[in-house]
Amino acid sequence: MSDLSNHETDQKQNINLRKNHLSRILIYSSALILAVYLISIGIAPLHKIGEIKKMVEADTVFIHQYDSINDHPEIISAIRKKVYTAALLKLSEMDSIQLIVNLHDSLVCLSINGVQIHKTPIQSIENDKLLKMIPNREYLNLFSGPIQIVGQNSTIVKEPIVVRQAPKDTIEASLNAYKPDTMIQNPAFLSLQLEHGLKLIFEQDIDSYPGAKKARRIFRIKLWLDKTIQSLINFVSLKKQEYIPTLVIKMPPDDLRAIYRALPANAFVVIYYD
Amino acid sequence: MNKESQLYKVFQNKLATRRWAEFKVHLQTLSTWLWKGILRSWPKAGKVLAILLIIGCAVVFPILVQNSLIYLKLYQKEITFQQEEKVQATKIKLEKDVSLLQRKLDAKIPKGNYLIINSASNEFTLFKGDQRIKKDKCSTGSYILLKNADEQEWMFKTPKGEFRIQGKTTSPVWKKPDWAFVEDGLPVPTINHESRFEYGVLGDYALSLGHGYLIHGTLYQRFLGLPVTHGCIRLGDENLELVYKSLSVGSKVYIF
Repeated sequence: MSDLSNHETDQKQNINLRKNHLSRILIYSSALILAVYLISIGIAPLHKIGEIKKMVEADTVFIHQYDSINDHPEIISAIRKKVYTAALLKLSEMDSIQLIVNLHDSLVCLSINGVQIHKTPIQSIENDKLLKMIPNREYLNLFSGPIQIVGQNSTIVKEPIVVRQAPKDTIEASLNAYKPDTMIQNPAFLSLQLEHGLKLIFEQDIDSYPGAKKARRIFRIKLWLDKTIQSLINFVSLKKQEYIPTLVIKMPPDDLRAIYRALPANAFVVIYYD
Repeated sequence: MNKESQLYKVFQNKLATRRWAEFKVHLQTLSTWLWKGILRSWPKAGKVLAILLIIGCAVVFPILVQNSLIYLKLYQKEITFQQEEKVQATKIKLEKDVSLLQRKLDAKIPKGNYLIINSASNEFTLFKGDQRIKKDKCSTGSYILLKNADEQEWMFKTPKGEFRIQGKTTSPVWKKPDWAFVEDGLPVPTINHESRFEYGVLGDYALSLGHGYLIHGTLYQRFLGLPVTHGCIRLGDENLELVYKSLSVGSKVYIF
């Protein structure tokens, strides 16, 4: 009887040991996967700068003409100003409304055919570490011309279209007389995806409207979720993690709304910073 | 290469070596932490894993990003210093280039009067060169999409872009288009029927932007500043007079 119970106890212990062993393996592998995942995300900026360097080096004309004196600390500011002005001139040759982000003067402007038709002061800027640290040669190549906006997301609609059915007679027309917009607006947050894997985020001053804080939280969570899902997909499919250098700019809500509604699809942007 | 430049280069190299060493220390610390924290405390693994996930997202990720960016500095091309004279000469040349480019850009700004319409805030600004003459309320398109039973559609929005004044008239008469009748629930009359002509509703002046779009006055002054028009730009009486007198045929109007 006691032998039998000993045997049962041994069996239970064996099962427990096996379970523990399995759970150990599971934990080790999960931790390893998590570590690899985090490291892959951590080194993503290196891949990004590698990509940028590769892109710049592929531009043989630029590389051939590039003078190393441009890397001199006294020259950097002047050469960037020249590149910016030249980019504005290129932008002025486009006949639709375009965007200018001038972090040097803390201004965001709308421009058409070289005329700056709207200027708005930037309230605050969060510049990406990678963009701040980018070598001057890469900066000059990247921002030497207008950059195309390849995608736009916003918490407000581009065109606030109201569909109305025509009234059947004058009585119905007088009953459905148009009541003008009361100008109550939703909080505005805007994300622009640019060429070369860059991103521009415009946020309104959160104290301007009730509910703006909540809207910003939702907007940011959505962006974070998109980024996380994409990074998980990349990880699972053994692709390189993407790092998206992002500029976050805060401005008054009315200006943000005007800028978003004015920009056509596939507009261009000129970016300038020191 | 002078002594100062050489010293600077040595300093840059040392800085890069120090950053690389710091990066390696960070990596080592991280791997030790992972080893001790996860592998040896496996009985509490569930909790550890959960905490790790949270810390991983909130703490480790930014640290890793930061470290890789510190490492990034190693990629920075070494600065080769030229002679001071060349630097100064380049600086002067660059400043000249900038002012030349700026002049080209400035030439694109109209010399005469021009008008800018902000259709999002329903405001207009009258400029002469880079000098602002007047800024006030206006009304622009309501963004109403009118549909009728015959599947016809009319979109009441103000077009955006650069326009020129095509023509100017005083005491304009409004020739009502089809949508004006459809919107009022009335039958659409023939093209030159007398019911199409309305007097005094467009104010004292009208400036044409082409394709039927006008800058004109309004009877509904209380709606100025609101998006209520069928695509035209409505101004208050005084502003309309100022704009009419300031702009000539060919003057530019920018709408955004």
